[in-house]
Amino acid sequence: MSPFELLGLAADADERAIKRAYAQRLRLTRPDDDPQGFQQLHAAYQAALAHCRAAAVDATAPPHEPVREPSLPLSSAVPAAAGAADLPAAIEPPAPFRFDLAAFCSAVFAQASGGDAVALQAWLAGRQELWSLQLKARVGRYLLNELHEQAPPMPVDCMETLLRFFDLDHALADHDPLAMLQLTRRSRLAWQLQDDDEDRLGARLELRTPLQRWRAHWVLRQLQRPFRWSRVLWLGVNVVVPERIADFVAEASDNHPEDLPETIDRTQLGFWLAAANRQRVTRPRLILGGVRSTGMLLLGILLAPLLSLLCTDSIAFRPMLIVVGVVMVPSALWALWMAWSALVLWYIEREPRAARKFVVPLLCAAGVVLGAVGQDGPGLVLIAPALWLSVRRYWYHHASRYAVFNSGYVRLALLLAIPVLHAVLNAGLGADLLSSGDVIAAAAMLAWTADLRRQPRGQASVR
Amino acid sequence: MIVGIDLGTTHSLIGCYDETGPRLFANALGEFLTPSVVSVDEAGQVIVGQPARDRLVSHPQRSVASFKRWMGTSRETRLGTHGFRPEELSALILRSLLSDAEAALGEKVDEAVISVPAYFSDAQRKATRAAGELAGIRVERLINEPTAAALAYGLREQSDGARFLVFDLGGGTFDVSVLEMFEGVVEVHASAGDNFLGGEDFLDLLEQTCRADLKLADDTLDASQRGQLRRRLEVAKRTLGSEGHARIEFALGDRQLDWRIDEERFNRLADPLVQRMRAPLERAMRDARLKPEQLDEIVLVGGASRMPLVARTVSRMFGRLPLRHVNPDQAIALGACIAAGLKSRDQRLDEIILTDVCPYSLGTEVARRDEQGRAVTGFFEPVIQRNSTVPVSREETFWPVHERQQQVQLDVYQGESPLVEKNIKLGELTVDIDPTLSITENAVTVRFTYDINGVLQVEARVHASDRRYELLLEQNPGLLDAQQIRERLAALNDLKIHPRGKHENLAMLARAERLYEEHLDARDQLQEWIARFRTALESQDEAVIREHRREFGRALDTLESA
Repeated sequence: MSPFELLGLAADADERAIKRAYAQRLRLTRPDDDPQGFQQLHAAYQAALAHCRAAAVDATAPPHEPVREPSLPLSSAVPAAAGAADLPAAIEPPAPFRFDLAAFCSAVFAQASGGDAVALQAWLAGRQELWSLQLKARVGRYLLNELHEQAPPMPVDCMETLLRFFDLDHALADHDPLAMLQLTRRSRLAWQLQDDDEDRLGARLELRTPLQRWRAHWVLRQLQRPFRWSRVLWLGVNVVVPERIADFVAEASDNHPEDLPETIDRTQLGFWLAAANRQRVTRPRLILGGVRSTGMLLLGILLAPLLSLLCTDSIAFRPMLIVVGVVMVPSALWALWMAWSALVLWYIEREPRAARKFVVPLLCAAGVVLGAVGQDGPGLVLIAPALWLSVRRYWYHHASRYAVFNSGYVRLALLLAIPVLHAVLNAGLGADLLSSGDVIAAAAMLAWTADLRRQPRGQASVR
Repeated sequence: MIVGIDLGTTHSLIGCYDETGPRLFANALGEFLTPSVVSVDEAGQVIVGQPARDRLVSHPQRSVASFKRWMGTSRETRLGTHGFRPEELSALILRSLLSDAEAALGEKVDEAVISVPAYFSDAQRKATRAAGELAGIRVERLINEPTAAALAYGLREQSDGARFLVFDLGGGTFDVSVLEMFEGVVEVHASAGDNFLGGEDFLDLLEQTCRADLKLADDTLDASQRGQLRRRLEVAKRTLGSEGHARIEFALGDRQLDWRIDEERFNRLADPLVQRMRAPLERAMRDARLKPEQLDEIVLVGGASRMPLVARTVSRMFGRLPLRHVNPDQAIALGACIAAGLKSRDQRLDEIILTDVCPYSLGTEVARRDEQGRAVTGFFEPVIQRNSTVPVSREETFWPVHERQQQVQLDVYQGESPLVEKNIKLGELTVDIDPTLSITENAVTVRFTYDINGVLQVEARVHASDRRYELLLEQNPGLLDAQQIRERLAALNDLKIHPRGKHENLAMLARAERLYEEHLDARDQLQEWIARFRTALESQDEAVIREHRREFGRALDTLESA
């Protein structure tokens, strides 16, 4: 039933007729007697009125109004004459003047970038032309648009003052609250991370100790420079640098590095964040690791002759061997670890498809075959990772259910269980029938099957 | 009989609707306005109204005013040996008003319509209802103050097809409502307000300025002296409005005070308060979707709206001056009387139907997904948008945030901020869902129903299991529950209330005692007069007492005007 039908009207009824019909029907469905009926009636009344008004606007308004007006003609907004208790009969019509929206916005942003919310509030309160309800609403709309476009630097309290003054920060204002949070963050970061001296930067970031201030300033300066391999590699030799930069960025931006100001070089930022990310095997990590290993190797080669001079032993290359060994073993272990992490991440994080799906069965099969032909050791080397991968994957996807398995100790226990099991089975009676490799392979296949049974699910849609 | 009551921050009124239209009842002293002040004397008797107001100066520790501002909180005020909650203090005012009404009507009053600020929160409304119960009446309806004022104004002016804005600046609260009247329908489009802005704030401002100027630090004034100063400043505030400048000149303790202020300075000082009026006005206009020129009238009510700076503020914002002053002190009470008439289905009001709005948004906390797909919690999702016409019922559907989630917690909030941390939590409802279902299969539909009496009901329905959950928000933390109300009612009934018949004598004595505090030079004289009046009272001869009272009153008038 259309709203007009419910009110007993023709679809072209005017506002007056709608109101009369509503008033008549309201006497039969009073809000206190018949809440249900009243709500239906009221909804129909509102819908009919909206329809009627939209039609009126279509008929009278120019085809389209420009969205952004850099200046507005002003006629009625004027501070009323200060007066006595009895009110003046009329206001003198002021000379029309134009309100420059763009200039107003830059003035507001300049005021806000000062960082003093109280001063900003006073400045806004003192703007006589904004007393006009209509002008203020239009300025508010324009200002919000400009805020989103420019994200001008200002601290959080200034942003709140501004949004409150123009009443833009309420739940019905019809803008995405996430976008507003992002805007606030972008403006804050732009304000905090201005190119400035150490003390003022530290004060804006509310850092207390001189060391913190110095570090913040140093990181900011590095991030603002354009990306150059030579400098990045040189800084990256120091193991703590990527983390220091990433920690600073995470803390300052509440884990939203994408909202950092434009002055920060994105390539530079991306490189350091990737280098500090332990969850991923990334190119920057590999490159920096390689550079560090090479650096140590070169250092070793340089130092070896010096060592051999000090050494009384006649065989000159032995210290050199030691040095190279000391350098090469950690480097090799590190490389192995990186490769393994890459494999684990590649395997556990995505849905198993094609090759990925069959990694575990293939490893298990190969291991069992090797075990069967008497190569127990190499067989275990294949089967143990298969178990590790399948179990990790299962845990990863059922983390919320089996939170206990996320603990590192539990994983360590699992790792130790393999040789223990191996030893027990070797010493015990079952050795003839079952090799430890078979047991572990079976466990790996079990975890693999359990994971496969888990159906992939649709993405969450949360309001 | 249903009466209409305006329970104000500084003054309260009572009346009813009869064949002559809305009619107010005078109190024992012959006045419509009863000051909202409660005092307890040494004998433990409760004193309400003008004598209590005088006792703010002579017995500041045993008297209290402006307690409407504490409604909805559990703050207790000690008067003598008894601690009172704001509901109880309001109940004492209500009892005094009811006895005036019963004296005038000659019958028992058992039901009432009480006016409350439009922007009163859920908790404040419930506290007002509790005050009614404690006064022994059933509160049939709470009517919003600006709506009441509009009813009184609109019916008197017979304004059909008119849209107007009611600007209500009372003693402690500020409300704005935009209304339309057509074909006998009084439709509220929007209300907004500030529950902590009123005439008292302007008085506080004057007090601070005066004390700063005269270097009267907090510890140099005792409570009684402070009461004296405020009384003088209250007078000065009125003079300031009518004459453009004001001066106070009197002896306070051993100091001779002389302080003056002109309107220009006052306006400058009051600017922060004036600025606070802007936001509610803007919001009400925007929510009503009206342009300033579409308004036919702007009606100013509430005692504090008499200040010239209020009229100036309004005209500055609307760019024109169709301002109407109705009797600012009585408009709300008269409207409450009409509402009482409507409630009792008075034949003479049969043509009138009133629809009002819920002035605040009601909704739940939700999480949102950001661009990276992470769930961010703490957002407020309005289900009933503010300024929806009541009764209103709306529903929204929500989904769990995580897979394998076992419960969905619905936190119910009232407020306007997009972030729940800045809103007021009303309650919570926990809904069990099936963790084996996917997120999309686990929809929960939540229905909010807000009825005409301001009771919010929240219902949740789990789609998969069709199970229903319900939350009726009748009780808020910090408010009295039914059991406590019964206990407090018994306690209040044990209190001795000063008999209404003796009120005039009591008022006279209280006034004399106040003047005793204020006039150091006339103390001996006053003491003698008081003693003489007491002797007359002991004679218990009504004629003698009346004669004495008249003389005494005249003498006090002379003293005060000197």
